[in-house]
This record gives sequence, C-alpha cells and structure tokens, in this order.
Amino acid sequence: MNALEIKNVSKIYEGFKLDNVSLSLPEGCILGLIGENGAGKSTLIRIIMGITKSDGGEIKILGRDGKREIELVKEDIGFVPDNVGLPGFMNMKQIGSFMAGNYKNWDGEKYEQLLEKFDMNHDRKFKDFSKGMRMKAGLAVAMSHGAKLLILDEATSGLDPVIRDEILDIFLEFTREPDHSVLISSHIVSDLEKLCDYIAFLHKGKIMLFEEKDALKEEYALVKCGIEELDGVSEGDIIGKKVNPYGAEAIIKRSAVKKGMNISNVDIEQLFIFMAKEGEK
Amino acid sequence: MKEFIKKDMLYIKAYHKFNLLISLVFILSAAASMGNNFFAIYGVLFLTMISASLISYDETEQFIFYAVSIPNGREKLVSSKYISNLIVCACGIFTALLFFLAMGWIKAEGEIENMCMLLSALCVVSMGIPAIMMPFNFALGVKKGRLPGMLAIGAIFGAVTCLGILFDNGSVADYALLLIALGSLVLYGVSWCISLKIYKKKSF
Repeated sequence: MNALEIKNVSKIYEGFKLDNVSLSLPEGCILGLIGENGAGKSTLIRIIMGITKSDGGEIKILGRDGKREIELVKEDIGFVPDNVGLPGFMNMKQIGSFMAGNYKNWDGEKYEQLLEKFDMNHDRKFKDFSKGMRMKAGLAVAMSHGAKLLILDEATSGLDPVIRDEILDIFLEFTREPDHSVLISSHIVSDLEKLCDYIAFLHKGKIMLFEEKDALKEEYALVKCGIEELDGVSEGDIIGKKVNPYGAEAIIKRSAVKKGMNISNVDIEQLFIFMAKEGEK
Repeated sequence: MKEFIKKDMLYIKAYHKFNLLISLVFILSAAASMGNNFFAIYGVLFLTMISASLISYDETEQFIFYAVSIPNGREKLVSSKYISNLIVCACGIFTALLFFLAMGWIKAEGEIENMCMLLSALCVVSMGIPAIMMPFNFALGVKKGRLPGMLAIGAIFGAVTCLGILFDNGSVADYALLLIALGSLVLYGVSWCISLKIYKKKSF
C-alpha cells in the first residue's frame, strides 16, 4: 500500500497555480519535496492535510480517501507545519494534556521520552521558545500519538546544523518501522539528500521530476564539454544546461554521454538547480 | 472538545482578568443603584467581547492551522468558542442576579418582574450579540468580520428599537423582551450550526 497517493491535484490562486500534481509515497519510505520559495510545497501539504481545499484531483492517505475520510485519517498523521502554532500560553505539560484529549492513541510516555531527548523544559510557555525549540515541540507532539505518516513542512529551515542533524536522525529512526513513512518538504536540498528515498521537484506549481533518489544519481551525470559536443546530444536527454562562450555544463542522461566528455556524479542540489533554470526558459 | 474549552479558559484567565474585573464593577454598580439595569447589561456586554478575542488569539498564534490538522479540529475550534462564551456569560448573569437579589433583600425593594426583565435583557446581550458576530468572525476572520458584524447588530437593534416605539405599551414591551430573549437562545443555536458549516468548508 502507498502511504500517500496524490493524483492531478490542482489549486488556483491569483498569480499562482498548483498544476496537476501527482505523486506517491510507498509505505516505509521517505519522500523529499524540493522546491524554491513559492514553488507550492506548503500549499500542497496544506491540501493533503485538509487545511486548504483543492480545486481538483484525488488524494489517498494510508489507503483512505483524503477528502471524505480525512478526519479519521488524521489520527494516523503526525503533522508539523512550517510555523508550529501550538497554544502560546501553554507549557509542554499542558500541551501534552491538550493533545492526550484529542488523539485516541496518545502515548504520554513516548511524549515524555521525546521531551527528555530534546532537552525541553516542561514548565516554560510555548510562546517563549526559540524557532528550533518550537520545531522540536511540534515533532514531539507529532510522534507521540502512534502516527504512521509524518508530514513535515520545512521542518529543518531556520535551524542550526546541530539541531538539523538531530532531527534528521529522528526521522531515520521513525522509518525503521516498515509501516512508517515521511513526507518532508524543504528548500535545503542537502538535508533531503541525506534522508530521502524518493525525491520530487516542485517548480512554480509543477512537478518537474519524481523519482527514486538513487535511480536519479545513476541515471544522470554532470558533464562539462564544448558547445558543439553538447549540440550532438539529443534535447530529450538534456535535463538542463549552462552555456557560456568557453563551454557548456549540463546534466544529461548517462546513456547519452559521449566519448571525451568530462563526466562527474551529480548531486540532487545541482539537478534541481539545472531543472529549475531549464523550467524558467 | 473539553481540551479546547480548557485552553480557552486558560487564555481568559491569562489575558482577560481586567475585562472580568470591569464587568464585575459594572454589575456591582448596577446592583447597588437598583433599577439601573444599563450597567448590568453593559457588564455582560463586556464579557461577550471575549469570544472574539479568543478567535483572534487562535488566528494570531496560527493555532487555527494546527487545530484543523487535529481530528475533528474544525468542529472543536468553533464549538469551544460558543461554549466558552456561554460559560463566561452565564457566570456574569448569575453574578448579576445574585447581587440584585442580595441588594433587593438588603434594601427591601425590587420586584420579581424586574428581575425577569433584567434576566431577559442579559440573555439577549449575552447570546444575541455573539450569535450575530461569531459567524462573521469565523467566515472572515476577526479583523474583517468586525465591521459586517457590527452593522448587523446595529440593524437588528435598530429594528428592535423601532418595534419598541411602535408597541409602546408597558406589558406588550415586557412580553416582547421575553420573546426576544427566547429568540436569542434559538438564534445562538442557529448561529452555532451556521458557524460549524462555515468552518467545515473554509479553506485556509
């Protein structure tokens, strides 16, 4: 079963359109949703969570209809938005009680363990937390009610490298259970590269690419060559290119690499940059 | 639901101690002056503003986005505001009646009929006004919903005043106030249902 299936989801705003987005997240995997600021990542996540209503398309979450059965399915989703809006005047103890009354499978012991792991003060009010602590608080809540799917919107943005690394380890630990899955959106590609099994590129409301991370690295290569050499490569094999008077740099399919081309492995960040720039043209 | 109401009570305790105190002072003044129901009504009116503030805090803290991701969060968010308003206003009305009864007993004056009229007026204020305001607040947000809500209240009170002038007969006016109070109760229930429907469909 796929943890998440999105088919032709669209949303129109003035000046922006989420255009027929289709994705799927297999159970037990981590899907990284990469996109620049304003690409539509948060909009897509809000649509999945039922916060924003879509203008079309279908969503299935853990095998259930994402529109008609969303209230039932929320029990199994741990959601951490980009701005964790827990009640500011409550401390972590009170937040724990609040959540215990709202989730059937609330695990108080797990919550305490996570708070201890995150070194969080039980008595301090949420409004007095820093951004990193708010994110940790959001995570502690999201992972304490038996969630099978974690949906995280820019969970690592604005955090220092130490905390980011801690949080990424927590996600990896979460997916050790075979039925646990994670959808995480970010514009910090390096975080997602470490973590994800699947990568989706979202650019200006459109999915440019959706593929298994390792397959992407095997399929594509970064080449540096002369302009004439690159002209010899079929357009369909070129993901993106940068051309200047001295030569060309391009990401192409490995199968299209010609003799004499300077070839190196591509990382996800480069892939995304080239695709986004090609998308601009 | 219980947890959402507890949260609202916590916010009232944290941010509205002054409002509660002012209301108490108005109610006490009304009771002390006997016959001056205006201060009692104004005291309870002060309490009805709290529900709009609670919605505003949820918006400012972005709690609404979090709440709608909780199972049945939309329904709980709306219903907790209606219930919190009922709790706060019920306390205000109970306090007003208690003080009026006490002062009436001390001064050996005051009639049951006056108490019934006071109770009716307090019901109209505590339920009628939030019943009109809250659907606007939930639909448009507190900032944008304030103006249309106020206009609607103005229109309704204007109509009631005109009716009062037209039917300026003591006993008819008394019965009319009782009917309006009962109507406010019904309006509150209808408003609750409307707000639930609005919030269920709302896209953030």
